[in-house]
Amino acid sequence: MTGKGSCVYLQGMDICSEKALLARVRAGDDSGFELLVAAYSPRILALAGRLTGDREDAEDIAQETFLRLHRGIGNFRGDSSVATWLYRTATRLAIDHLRRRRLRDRIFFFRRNSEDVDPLDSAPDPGPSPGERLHDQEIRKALDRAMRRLSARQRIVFTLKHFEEIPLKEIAAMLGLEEGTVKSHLHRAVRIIRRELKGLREESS
Amino acid sequence: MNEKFEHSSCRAEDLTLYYYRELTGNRRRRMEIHLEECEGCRQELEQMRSTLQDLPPGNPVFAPAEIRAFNERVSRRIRRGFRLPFGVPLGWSAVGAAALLFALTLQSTPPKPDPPSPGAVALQGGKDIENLPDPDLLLNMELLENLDLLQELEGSGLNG
Repeated sequence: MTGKGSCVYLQGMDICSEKALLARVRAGDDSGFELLVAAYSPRILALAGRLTGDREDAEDIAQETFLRLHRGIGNFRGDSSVATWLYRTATRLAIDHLRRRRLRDRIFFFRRNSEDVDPLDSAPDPGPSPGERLHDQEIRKALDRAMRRLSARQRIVFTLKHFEEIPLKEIAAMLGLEEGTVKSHLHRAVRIIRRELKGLREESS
Repeated sequence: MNEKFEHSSCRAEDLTLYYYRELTGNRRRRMEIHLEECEGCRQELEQMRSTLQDLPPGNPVFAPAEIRAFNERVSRRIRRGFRLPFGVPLGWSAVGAAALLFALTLQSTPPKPDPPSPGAVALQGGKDIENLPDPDLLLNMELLENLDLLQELEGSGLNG
């Protein structure tokens, strides 16, 4: 956040513009809402993408997030910024989604437990490419595999901390958890990811 | 994770928090002093750093064109009669319509059974039960019908 005149700049839109836009939307001006979507969709899509690891799911979650904002904009009191509200809503939707996905995976693949490898991950990778690109792909695959092994909360906490760089205190507030619980989730997530990537990192060094 | 670290009494969670700059005040200072003394923790921190600092940003990445397409899709959803002209949200009116249909279904009188045919009345009498065909014969007829059905299915190529 940076100061800009009397307005505070927050993640792509200053508070004054945001308030003005909210007033327009409340008055029934949908073009104002489109400006809000345009301002925040890159970050919300990226967040949902990181949380779910799936393009289609990310778009669904992001879309539902914006539609909920539109539906509830009359009741939006402005205690938090629009960005914070969107982050919180997208994160909660992602948690629900990840939990459903884990359940579905267990049912359809008859996995014995959450540590078992997804059969799709063990499928041969089409189109091998040489050198560094291959190594990067391996790391991406290993990270994806590790992320799928995390519980919904571990994954969300790790993503919000590592990629979005949100303080743990804020993450705890966002998820309605104790800060100590969030710290444990982060630590366990890091341990699992390191274990999954260990071989690859040793190879590269 | 290195052996020295695993066999020491060092606090692994604090090291993770230290890496993410989430240790503050006295706990951070204690960790810094500890790191100066403990080689195992220094190695562990270094390994953690080398793994985490170069993690790819995570899939998927959305191109600007995809983001524009997404924005347009959301706009269409909002403009496409999300609300009816008189201000009732479409979702609620759909729920209302479903509830009305459900209520009408409940209130409509169930169809009365047809009056029994004279034959059926006759069958209710104990004497006429003897006039029923032999149960074995009925079973055989059923088997024959099933056989016919199987042959028809084979003929049409539906039976595997």
